Amino acid sequence: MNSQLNKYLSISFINIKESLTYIWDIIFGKVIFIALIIFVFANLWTVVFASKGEVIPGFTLSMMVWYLVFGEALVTSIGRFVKEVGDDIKSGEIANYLTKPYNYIVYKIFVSFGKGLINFMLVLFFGGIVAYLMVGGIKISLVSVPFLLIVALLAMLLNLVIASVISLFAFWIEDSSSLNYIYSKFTFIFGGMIVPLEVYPPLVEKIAAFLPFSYSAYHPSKLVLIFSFKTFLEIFIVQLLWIGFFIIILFFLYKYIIKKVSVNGG
Amino acid sequence: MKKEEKKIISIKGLKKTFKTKVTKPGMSGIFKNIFSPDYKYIKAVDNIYLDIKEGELVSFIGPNGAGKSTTLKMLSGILFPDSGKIKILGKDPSKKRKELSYDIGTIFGQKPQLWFHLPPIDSFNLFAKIYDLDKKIYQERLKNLINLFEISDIINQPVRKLSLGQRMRCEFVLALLHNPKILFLDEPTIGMDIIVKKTMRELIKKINEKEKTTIILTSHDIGDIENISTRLVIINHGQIVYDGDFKNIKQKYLSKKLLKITTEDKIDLKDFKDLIVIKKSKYYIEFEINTKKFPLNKVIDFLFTKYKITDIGINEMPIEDVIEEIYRDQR
Ligand SMILES: Nc1ncnc2c1ncn2[C@@H]1O[C@H](COP(=O)(O)OP(=O)(O)O)[C@@H](O)[C@H]1O
Ligand SMILES: [Mg+2]
Repeated sequence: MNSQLNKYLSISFINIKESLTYIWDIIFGKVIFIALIIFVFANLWTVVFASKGEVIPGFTLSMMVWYLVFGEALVTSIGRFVKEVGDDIKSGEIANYLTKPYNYIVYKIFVSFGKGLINFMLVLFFGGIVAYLMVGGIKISLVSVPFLLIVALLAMLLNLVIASVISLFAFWIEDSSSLNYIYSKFTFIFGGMIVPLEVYPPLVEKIAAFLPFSYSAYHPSKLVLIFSFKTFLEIFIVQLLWIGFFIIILFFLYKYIIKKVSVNGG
Repeated sequence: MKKEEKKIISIKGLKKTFKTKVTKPGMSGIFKNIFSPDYKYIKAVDNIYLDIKEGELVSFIGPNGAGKSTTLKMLSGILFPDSGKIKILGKDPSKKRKELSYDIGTIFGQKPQLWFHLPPIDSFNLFAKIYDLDKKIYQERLKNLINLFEISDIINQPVRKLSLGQRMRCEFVLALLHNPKILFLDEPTIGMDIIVKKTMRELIKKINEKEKTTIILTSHDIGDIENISTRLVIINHGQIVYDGDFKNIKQKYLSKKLLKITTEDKIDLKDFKDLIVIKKSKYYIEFEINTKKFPLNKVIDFLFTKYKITDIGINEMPIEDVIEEIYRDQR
């Protein structure tokens, strides 16, 4: 078991190493664009706050902008996971993975996790610069940092296991980009990637806050702004539960699909 | 039994049929597809028997859709047969896929397995972990492969900076790192130009000779296996049409060549009256010659003295034609 985990962590590690070699391509190809979105929103919020004051009670202008920085960093970090799996299936490339002594989908998760860590830090850094210049900083107590990191990592992992479950449907649906689209819109709307869920009507907010998507964006991002150890524990536990839940689904679905594909040929 | 004589792969009565939905166009088609779709059955592999000995180099040649990839997928355990038996090293791949993955190397398609932006050594080190190689054994193995493929001076350069040939050698080292007894190569030369194909052939030959790896490769182009002594298995419509020495087929059926020439002068059909002309326009002609009757050098000499030739192409007969002739002879 230990050597298995070691194997998969090495897979994350080589992808971190590779990402670092073309870090400027990532910055110019992707991160700058996200920073630009943050810039646009920062302007938008500045105007809104000037004319209307607080949109959500208790959320200051700088909190709104920094919320977006964390939301973007968390959600965009995993890349186009669903589409990548779809491409492997479509191109037949998956045959090369299935003949290796590892689990294909776990392999993919650790690849994206490695790349995701670098993306996460880059978006946080460049988005953070934009936010800082536009609206100033926010206060984060040093003690909370390790806890925030744990929640952030689990948020990415949760995001990846949900994406994995969805990606497996690419075995049935030819066009995986539509799956990718649906999934990204879910994290976007129900996950609260751009604005806190408090902007929704109370019922929608309650439902969205319960759904797993919000544990990969809304809850962790809000925790950075308003930290308490109690909230951390709540989020941490629910994240683990959701991750466990999706891993179980993933396990059975993957087994079922691989069997089916082996028998029917997809 | 001598070691080379040991049977490493045995295939008995292998069959695989695919069931696919026939999609119909239009609105009514959509409903029909959902509620009562019509199915089409494709016999991809149809009763194949094959024994492969340790150390053999076997080429599966056949037209597109002949069932080559399907066979390889069943051999590597990612596709289950409808009926028939496969034994690889005494094991059933559909039941022992993971176990067999330590003994088999596979390359399906052309996508590089090396991490593009990193030096090959990083990919090698990762694969050593993936295959649970013992550190000492891995170092020893790597040293041997580095010497065999002469890559010592490139393993620390990023893959993207390597030439195509260098990359190819490193890809093979990666695939051979876990010392597989068997290697499956599905269309390893597809889309390559002649020179790169030649490099690929030489590498395959080298692996088979020096590493004693049992290799099955597939191709739709019989010209691909020229200059390698191999056991040839011709597959058509999921069945084996020929199984034997490549030399026999070469002498019997590959004496025919396909010539295409472009000239500056008008082509006189009278010059080609004994030959089978396939296509002709004023300055271009495509024809078949039997090199036993008309030696290639004589034909070319003649053409070059008579015509001002601007372009010439000499090709093997397409595999479909070879298969047709084999059928004709069997009748
Ligand atoms: N997953 C699949 N579903 C349906 N039909 C398939 C599938 N895979 C292959 N086929 C069909 O089976 C036949 C053999 O395919 P394949 O083994 O890929 O041929 P080759 O590799 O010789 O070109 C083809 O007609 C192909 O269309
Ligand atoms: Mg094929």
